[in-house]
Amino acid sequence: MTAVEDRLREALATAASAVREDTLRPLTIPERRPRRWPRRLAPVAAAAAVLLIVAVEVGIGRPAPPRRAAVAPAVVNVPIGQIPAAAAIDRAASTMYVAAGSRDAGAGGGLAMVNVAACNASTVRGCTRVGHVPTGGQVPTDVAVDERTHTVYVANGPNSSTVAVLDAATCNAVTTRGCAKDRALVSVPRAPGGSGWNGPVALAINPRTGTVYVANAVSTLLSVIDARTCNATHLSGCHRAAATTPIARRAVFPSLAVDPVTDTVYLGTWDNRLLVVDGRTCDATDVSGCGKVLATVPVDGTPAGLVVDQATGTLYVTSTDTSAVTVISTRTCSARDVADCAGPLVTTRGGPGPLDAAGDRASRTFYVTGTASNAVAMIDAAACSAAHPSGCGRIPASFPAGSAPQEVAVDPGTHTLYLASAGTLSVVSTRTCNAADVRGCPAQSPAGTVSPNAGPYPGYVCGSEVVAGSCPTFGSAGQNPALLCNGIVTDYESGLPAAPLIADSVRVAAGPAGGGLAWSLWAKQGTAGPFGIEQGGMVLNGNWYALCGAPLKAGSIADLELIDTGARGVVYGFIQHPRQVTVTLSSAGRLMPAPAEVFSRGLTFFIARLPRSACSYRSMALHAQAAQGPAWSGSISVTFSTCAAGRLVGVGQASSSGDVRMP
Amino acid sequence: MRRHAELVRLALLMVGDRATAEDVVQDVFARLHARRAEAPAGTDPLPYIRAAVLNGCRSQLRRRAVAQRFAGLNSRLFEQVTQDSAEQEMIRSQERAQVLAALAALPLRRREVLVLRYYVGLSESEIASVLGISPGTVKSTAARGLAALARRLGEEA
Repeated sequence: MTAVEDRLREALATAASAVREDTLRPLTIPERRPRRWPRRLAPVAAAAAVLLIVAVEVGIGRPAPPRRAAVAPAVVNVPIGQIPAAAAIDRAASTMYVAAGSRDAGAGGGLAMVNVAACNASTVRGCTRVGHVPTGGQVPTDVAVDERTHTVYVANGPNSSTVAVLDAATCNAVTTRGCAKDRALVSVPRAPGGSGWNGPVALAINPRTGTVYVANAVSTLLSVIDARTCNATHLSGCHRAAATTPIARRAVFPSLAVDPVTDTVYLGTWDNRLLVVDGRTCDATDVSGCGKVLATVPVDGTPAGLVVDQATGTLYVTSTDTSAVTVISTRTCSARDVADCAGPLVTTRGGPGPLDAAGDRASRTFYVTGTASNAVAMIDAAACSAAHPSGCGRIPASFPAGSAPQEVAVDPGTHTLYLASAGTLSVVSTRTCNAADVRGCPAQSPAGTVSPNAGPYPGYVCGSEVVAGSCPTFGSAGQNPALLCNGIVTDYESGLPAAPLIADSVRVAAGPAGGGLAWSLWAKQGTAGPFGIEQGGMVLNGNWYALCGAPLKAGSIADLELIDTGARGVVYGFIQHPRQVTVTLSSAGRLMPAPAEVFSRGLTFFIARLPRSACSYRSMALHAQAAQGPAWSGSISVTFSTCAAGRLVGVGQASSSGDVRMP
Repeated sequence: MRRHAELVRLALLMVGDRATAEDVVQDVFARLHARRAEAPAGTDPLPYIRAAVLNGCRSQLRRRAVAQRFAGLNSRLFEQVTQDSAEQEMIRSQERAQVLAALAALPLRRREVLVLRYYVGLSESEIASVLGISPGTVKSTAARGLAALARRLGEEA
């Protein structure tokens, strides 16, 4: 033991001893949170399946099923499983498989099986009959179907070391005769010395090369199973352990996707990145390239759900922590070409807390579950793709979907969207409920579940921003309180000289604010839509001020800020809505002067001089109304806790309301 | 959470102030609560939770880095916030403050390895498991971290 080691040990022990058990804030359990590993393969499989099935259908000219009167949307109370984690459909077996874990160690988890021929947008008569089968793991977290061999692969979860292989022909919603008999368990190696929580949690299949990719929890390993020798009919390869290769220096986040077109494997990491691996040298027959990362893609948040849209060559990556969806080109960021992997990348809105996603090619819609909004958002893939990003950044249309909706799957054959939660199964027609048409969307959440208006995502209110982490506490007395917005510390910087802070922005609007004050609005270069303005900011007489939106309860974004300029304060902010909205401000029930308004890039910016000093206002309320559809009205009220002259005023409390009413 | 205080201490040593440390642990607890309840008997989720806490700390430190560029806080951050905080009395020793400031100036990965080794008392293989790196990397990172610390403190590693 050297002197340095001694000193270090002693200093650490002393510093840590300041934390005494009896002085800790008690831990609290949020009422609503994502309940499982936010990884997703199912949407990838679903998206791939969409294209595969469409291609097959067109190719063989199969007649379309007779049209029946639509019964969707419908909600059925049926036990899916305590912790539904992923869903995938095998159309030949007419079955949607939902991997669902159990909280009871003795009971075990498994698959719930729904007959999609008898439970879809046209009929719900078979929705109440759900089969259950164990898969050999307590908390199975992912399921994928290889439609060529009709094989179901199930990742048995973080505390297992197996992937279950089932025959969809003999283990489905109609019959379970082969579920136990024909099941195989493939051993997936885990990192030595692990915690026991580093088992297989995410799956992705490349049907073209017959490869099943497996990612483990808290691990640096990528495993490969040969689907040609381990499937529903050939089990010989199932007895061999999966081939495992170290892939990353940092633990990968268990999200995984494959693009069969470019033979590319995408793997998420804990530190907001995607790793790009060449599937041509990392597949069932050759694992020599599995450990080589071709490119690292910076994602806006921790990658949670990965969906490949082969039609537009786009990889959509949801990030629950930042409420962003990163849009990546699979043509210029793949195993074939990494030119655009380094960014800058386009991002769009997925609604608060986006998690799982599934695509419907016919309606050009990506359905994204919003764990923070209790809604499903519908991203318009025609308007926001890698090739056409002009519509990215818009607020997506959405519909209420019950408490923290988790799993989505689309059956393109019946144009049905399935939403699985622990005790309910929602069935929605993608023909009448999609990014362009919301007439057939559910009007309210399933009975007994939380409605979208129940409150914001449990998080920390930093200023007017609800963040998933915590409010930073640095900064000396007298300085602005820090406030995070889009990962940038905003209030701390607000009021600083503008020049360095807008160096990478462009001016989109300007005008006088009265009393010799001039304002201008700036958008960050290369960032489309309202995101660009939010990340740009406002400049008032040469000083920069942040725009930092707080999500309203139904997913719209609004901002209300107050600056004390001395004698008369300035209030400014924005409402993000596809149409210009009319903003009315009031304080303690008294109307304020009408603000100047500018509509640009799907965002209404407003600014007004106040009759008095900003410090004389204790609270402020904003009411906004859109004259044109989709009809919208909403309000935010804030209570100011502190007042620092010449600076942005910190907001003590914020409450908001408002909803997107479907026309 | 049985290990609540232990995890807050770990976070405190990484982020340098107690409020943030408690927030990080609260956030991890909230995220993992459902999963922890399902841990079967005999398995120990602690290494996983430690990894999650360290990830939370990294996230906090990354956010700070943005502000540091503008405010010039640099590596004095750790020193400053600990002196500003209620823990001041506990760390009033100039020598300890020097060690902590030198530690705070190290790259994040080195700091993580040193804290896990000299505070939590984990073995190299356990640290490797928590951080998702090889035991060899743990060894070399610890050695480089100690050497850098010694240089800053004017001692021999």
